[in-house]
Amino acid sequence: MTFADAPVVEAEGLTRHYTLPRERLTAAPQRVFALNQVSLTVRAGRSLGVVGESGCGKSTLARCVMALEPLTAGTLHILGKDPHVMRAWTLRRHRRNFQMVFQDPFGSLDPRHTVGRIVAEPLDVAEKWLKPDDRRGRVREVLESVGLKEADMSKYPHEFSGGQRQRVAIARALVTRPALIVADEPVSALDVSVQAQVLNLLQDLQDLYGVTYLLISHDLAVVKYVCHEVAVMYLGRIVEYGPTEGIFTNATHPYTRALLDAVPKLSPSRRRARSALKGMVPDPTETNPGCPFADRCPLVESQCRSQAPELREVAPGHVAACHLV
Amino acid sequence: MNVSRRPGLHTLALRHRSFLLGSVLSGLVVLLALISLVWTPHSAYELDIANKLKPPSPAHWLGTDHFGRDVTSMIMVGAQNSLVVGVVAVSIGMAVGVLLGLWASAQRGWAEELVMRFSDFTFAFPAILSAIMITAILGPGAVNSILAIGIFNIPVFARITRGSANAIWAREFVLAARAAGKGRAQITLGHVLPNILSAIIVQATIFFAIAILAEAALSYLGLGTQPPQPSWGRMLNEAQTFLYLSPHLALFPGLVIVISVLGFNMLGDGLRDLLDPRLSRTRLAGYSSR
Repeated sequence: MTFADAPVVEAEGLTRHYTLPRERLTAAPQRVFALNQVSLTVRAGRSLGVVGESGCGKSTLARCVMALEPLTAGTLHILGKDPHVMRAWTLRRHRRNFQMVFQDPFGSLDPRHTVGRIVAEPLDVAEKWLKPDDRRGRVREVLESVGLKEADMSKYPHEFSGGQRQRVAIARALVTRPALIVADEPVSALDVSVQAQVLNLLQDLQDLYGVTYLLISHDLAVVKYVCHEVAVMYLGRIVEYGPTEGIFTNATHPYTRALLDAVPKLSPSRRRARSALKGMVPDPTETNPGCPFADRCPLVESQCRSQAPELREVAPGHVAACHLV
Repeated sequence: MNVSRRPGLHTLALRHRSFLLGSVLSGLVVLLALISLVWTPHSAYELDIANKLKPPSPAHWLGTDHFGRDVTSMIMVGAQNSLVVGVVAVSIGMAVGVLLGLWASAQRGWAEELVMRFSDFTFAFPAILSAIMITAILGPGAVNSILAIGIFNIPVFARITRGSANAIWAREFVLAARAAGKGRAQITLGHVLPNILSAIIVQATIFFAIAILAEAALSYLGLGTQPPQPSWGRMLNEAQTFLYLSPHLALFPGLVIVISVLGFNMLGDGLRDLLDPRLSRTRLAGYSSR
């Protein structure tokens, strides 16, 4: 399933805002920008990690890329086709090419369906002409590739542990042999010991099938471990975007640096002075002309309050939105 | 998660007191109706004026009414009547109400508004009053009273269904089904309905009891089952004239109404505890804990 070097995901200026109910009849309805001018590209067989604190729009990005939520503005191409402008039926057929793994393996599996039925669900639409035997074969094959057994097909989700359930969810995402898997916090609901197993599985599957990942996480360690590239989001915008290596060794945006400093260090000798962020995430309904991070930034200057910074290249393929770089 | 340690459904059912008592009582009523199909101590229709208003005796276990008919036999045949009215009325209410509720929940927007405002409108009238209104328009009779009770059951089921279905639509596995390319109808049938079925069954059992009571009330008012077909409600009505002379005529039909309503209510409560994972913490703890 390789498409040479063609981008699997091409997103240009993705914007999603929600309109809040009016507070008074005469008041103008307020808008929340969950996603603001987000552009990104993921090439075949690569992984892009999206990090940021809760409420920064990571999950909205995942749902918009999956076309589970409409865009307010921007264009999105998955394998060269825009799922947001397709007719409903064409979109449903196109969905076989991009699948999703959800955060909560307890909520994302229907408790009343057997594992076999859950994993086969995407085939109901994508390959509904499949004969029962072939269908069973496909499910068995994909279950084995995620480390589960054929006998597990007749079991129900509650008979499995969290890690195993997430394997079931990954098997469901893989069964149509998609080019892209969007994983929204795939390991954050799991025990630390199980997280590594699931991440290893994701990497093995990438090596095996050449699948492309868009991995959403709040955990920098997860992203560093799995992803080739990283996008750091703050308040619905990408503030820094580049190769994993570059982001982790040479973070330029103050927010990225604060995130990196917040990761606990194992070795006491390597302990760094933490520049813990102060203050809260600003209200996303406010339309602030300046940099969205200005209120919490340790390096804030006067121009940060008046003018929003654009993404600028700081190293080859590495961009950051900050006036000070 | 250890599955084998969790007690099975049947073990819990045997421990649940109201479920047990409820199934015994409602089973008794069903048994009564079934036996009456093949055998009754006397004919429930045969008049015997010479033996009218007799108190309970070995020949007539629960006595005779003002036409000399055997009360035991009338109560047994009346049970058929009550059960048929209950089953058909609840089926009508459930079939239409569940469909409306599922549709409202799947479509959202104006469809949901429409269904909900319609049920608000229906709820504004007391149930028995609207049933009286419907039978007044359509005319008295068993079929019309079934229709009346069934119609006022529709909004009840529509609400329950829509409420439970909305909760399911918000779950992540529905999003997963959409990501898999499933449409609204497929999700409704494949995911929503199976997950709310137990709540609907529970509701059906409880409304079965209410339907029996409503049929008795309509018949008491003369709007339900017509003579000579025996009906518990009409037996009460006829008994009130002779209340001082022969109190047993009111006592026994009243008692079977109480027993069947109580029985089906307790059965419903028990089923809710046993089947509905959201309302029961004892079973399926893993289902609802997230």
